[in-house]
Amino acid sequence: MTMPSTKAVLLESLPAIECEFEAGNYVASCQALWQATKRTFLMLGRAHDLETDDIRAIAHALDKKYPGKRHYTGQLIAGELAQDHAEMEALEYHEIKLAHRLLLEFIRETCREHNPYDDTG
Amino acid sequence: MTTPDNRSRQRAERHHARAISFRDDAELLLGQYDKPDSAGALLYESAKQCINALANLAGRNPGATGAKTAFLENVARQHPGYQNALAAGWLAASRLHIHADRGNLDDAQFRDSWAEAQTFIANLLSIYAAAEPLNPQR
Repeated sequence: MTMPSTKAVLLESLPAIECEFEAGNYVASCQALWQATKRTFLMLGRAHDLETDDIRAIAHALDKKYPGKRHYTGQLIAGELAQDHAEMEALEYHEIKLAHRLLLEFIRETCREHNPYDDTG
Repeated sequence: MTTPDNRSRQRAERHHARAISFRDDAELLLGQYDKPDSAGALLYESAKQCINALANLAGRNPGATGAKTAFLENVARQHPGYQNALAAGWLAASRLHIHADRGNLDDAQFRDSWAEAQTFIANLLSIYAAAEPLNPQR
């Protein structure tokens, strides 16, 4: 049996996040969004041969390497804010909505750039 | 963009001045008094004032924070080069606001949110400056 790649699992998790958000289950959607954000940064780290699993270090390295491209540290902060909501229910609806819009777009674009169905992730 | 009337222009100038003043005070609180919670709260207020200033310049007056976010998304769509940076920067400012209440950020998280929020404010002040010729008083 072939196991799905990390990237395939990541991409396939996004509709479930959207469903939880649409259903108003914001704690669950934020928790899943944070997990997907972390996986995305780990995938980026491997794709760029960064020898670390520290996602903050990965975001900083990519912002330094590609200034202005995607604003990686900002995406990480948005993911951490989703985590804040999952843990503390700290956000208002408009913040939750903006974080979902930003991160789902970021994750999908990253998956497109890094071929989500290959087996190297 | 809707042409602002005199009252909206005056509001815009007032919010713009507050945005700069709050940002400067926030830097002082952090740099000279080592008060990150207060500094973060004030930087968030500066970010809000920036949105208000731009909204007033567009003849709008968003009250609730959700309305400010909706206006900001409109601004971002009009400035594609800033689009993701504006959304992320506003969320970073919100994170500082939450931290002021809950104290949840570690040093690295605070530094990143602070830097992103500062970039957000600088970006909105640049957009405001570019839009300011709409104001005949300047």
